[in-house]
Amino acid sequence: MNLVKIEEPNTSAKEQKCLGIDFGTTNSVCSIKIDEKVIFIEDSNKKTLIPSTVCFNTEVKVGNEIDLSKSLGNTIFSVKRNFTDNPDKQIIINSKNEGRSSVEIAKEIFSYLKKICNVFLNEDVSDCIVTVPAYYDERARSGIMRSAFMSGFNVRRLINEPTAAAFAYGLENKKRGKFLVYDLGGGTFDVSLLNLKDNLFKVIGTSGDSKLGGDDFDQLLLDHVLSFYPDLEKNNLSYDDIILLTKECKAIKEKFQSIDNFQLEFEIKGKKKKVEINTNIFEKIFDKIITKTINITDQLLKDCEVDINDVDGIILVGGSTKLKLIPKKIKEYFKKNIYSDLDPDLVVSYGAALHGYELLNGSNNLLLDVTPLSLGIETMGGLMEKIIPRNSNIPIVKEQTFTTNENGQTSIIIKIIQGERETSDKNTLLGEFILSDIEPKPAGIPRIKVRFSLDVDGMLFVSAIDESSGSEKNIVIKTGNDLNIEEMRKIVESSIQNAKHDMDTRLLIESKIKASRLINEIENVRDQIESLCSKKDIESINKTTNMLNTELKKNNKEKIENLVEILNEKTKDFAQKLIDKNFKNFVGKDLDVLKE
Amino acid sequence: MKHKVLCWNCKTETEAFEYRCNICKKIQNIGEVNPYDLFSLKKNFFIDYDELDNKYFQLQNIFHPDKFINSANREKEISAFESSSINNAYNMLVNNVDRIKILLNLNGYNIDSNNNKSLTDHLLLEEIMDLQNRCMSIENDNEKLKIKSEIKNKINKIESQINENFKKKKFSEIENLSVKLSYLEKINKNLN
Repeated sequence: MNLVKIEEPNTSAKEQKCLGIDFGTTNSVCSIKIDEKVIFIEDSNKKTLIPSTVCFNTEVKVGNEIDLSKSLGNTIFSVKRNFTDNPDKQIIINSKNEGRSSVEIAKEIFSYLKKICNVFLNEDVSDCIVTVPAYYDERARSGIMRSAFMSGFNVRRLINEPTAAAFAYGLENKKRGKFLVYDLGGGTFDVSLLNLKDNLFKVIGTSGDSKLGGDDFDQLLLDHVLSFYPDLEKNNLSYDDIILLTKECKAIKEKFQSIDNFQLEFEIKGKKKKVEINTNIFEKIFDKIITKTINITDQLLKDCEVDINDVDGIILVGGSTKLKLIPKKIKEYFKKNIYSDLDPDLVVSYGAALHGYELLNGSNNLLLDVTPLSLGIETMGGLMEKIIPRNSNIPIVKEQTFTTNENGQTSIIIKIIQGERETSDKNTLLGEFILSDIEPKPAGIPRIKVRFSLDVDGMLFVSAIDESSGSEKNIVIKTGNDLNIEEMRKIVESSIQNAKHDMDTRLLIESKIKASRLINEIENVRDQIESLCSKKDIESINKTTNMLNTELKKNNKEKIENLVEILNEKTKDFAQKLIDKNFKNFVGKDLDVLKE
Repeated sequence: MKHKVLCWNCKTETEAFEYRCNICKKIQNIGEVNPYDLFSLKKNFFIDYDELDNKYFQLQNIFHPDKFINSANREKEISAFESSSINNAYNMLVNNVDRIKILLNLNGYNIDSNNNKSLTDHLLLEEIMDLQNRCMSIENDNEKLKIKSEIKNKINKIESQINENFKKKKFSEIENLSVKLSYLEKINKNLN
């Protein structure tokens, strides 16, 4: 049966432009499809690979604009690696001990990318697709999205890096069949299994390690070099020393393609030493990492119940796969055709640009992706109850009913976790919510329906309904305090409309996003505020929150920032009380345990 | 693919082609429909996976959120909701135990969830325990392959028994077999 093409409202309009942004650990790449062609954005030095580095001196500099010989100590490298820990944790950015969160540091990179795109294209393009590692968890995804939005980008979709690459191979190289995408970047490893058909690109499963990449080769190589200095401890070296040495090791790694055996002279802390590096040592170092990636790939095939003999080829993606040893080892092990015809450094952005163009201008192609990690909640005894298993097709909505375990219980704590381990403490805690106002009933009688909605961006929203109370109260809860993509989009769109200067707009958007998160944060602990604060304090917090909500609809940055400051001040007492209370709870529990 | 609808947008009672209102072309909700009918499959235990896949892709092509990125909120909501429902229905059909439940239900037979058959059937319990013990003490890949093919054979056998019983409308028999099937599939999965 032929599919009938349905006319989309925009087909008659002018073609819409959408950037494909690959924000990488080492380098970032932007591209865009215009007039049937994908072009790569160049910075003022005519470079398409923009180092994902930020230097905080008197002014903020990014990428090739940083003069590393002068400002090594103040330069942040590989900020993307921090997103899987806690994207909001403060990092020291300069010798003055000033701190910034990873989200804020990445925001500087996105702002710079936006600037060079505007200059190169000679027009302002805000719509974009941002790629993320397939194995990224919820928190890391929303952190990246927040960075991009804060720099004034209108993120239309987040897509997984290997999926973007496969899309490019499917469309441009006309690849058809089952393919593994082996994506080894500077900081992350992803592997996805896809089925590529005409007009259909379907991810069967995905796996990876969000902390494994080219950077690890450099570190292992550095360890090897340092082994020639037995009396030197790695933590005795200064930050600058380590960065310089790491850079040297990286250069050696890249050079090693052609030379088999060489001796290098290193000078560390004034001590010159000859360090020998030969194929043997090099392969040993590489084997550690490659073996890990092979094991992950084997497990993925098993999970998907696909035999390697049914795979048509392996597509290599990511800068690290340019090292000759990697294709060699992968080919040796899997005995499959290896494809790297599309530049592994550029193919992710390329695929994102193609997909972005189709999203905004309509197309007959369909891209179906999966969620990389299982989602669930913590149940009795700290176990994880999976609600959405990994490799489920997205979008997906799943519901599960829970009940109380004590008579007359009126509230229930829901801990949302993500990961594959059996016990919840080994997985990532995405958020914690207290559902209160449950009608007091005997244990086991209340029926609390919890709904998990995972959207196409891989973002999760959770809501709960107390079905037994008759009045179906719908409690919308989010993972953490983060805003959803629509909320952020609204902020960006409303701010752009009234913009005078690009810079002002960006700062305004940033203030608004920060303010909206603060309001979310307060909403999430509203019950505790009401039980811990005085009536007067509650009133005053509510009043300021309402004022802030009103200001958010306008565009006065100073007023918004003032109110945020006031609100932070007013909730300070509460935060302290909350910490005290939690500490008391903790101590109380501990004592009980001792008594038993 | 024509359906009668009352369009939420133009409020006309009309026919929808590929779930779009004939008059205003807005996307419509699918409404209550069982997974077999959703994918236009014959209500048999054995299903044609290629046919299922084709139908699944056709439906996702209509409803997937990527196709509604420039649409108004209401259409976006319908798209997200139905695209999820299609995924859920698909997942249920490719899962043997879920598919049996759906088919039993369509035949008017309701599974009694309080009646846990696995505990009452001692022979089944012994067989499963024995298999599990053997799986725990696997020493090499050869042994593993042997057990795997053994389990696969058992699964195939039960599947055809279930298929036969559906033809004979022996539903309580199917329910028992389905318990055994779910155990075997779990063991098989854990072997990966």
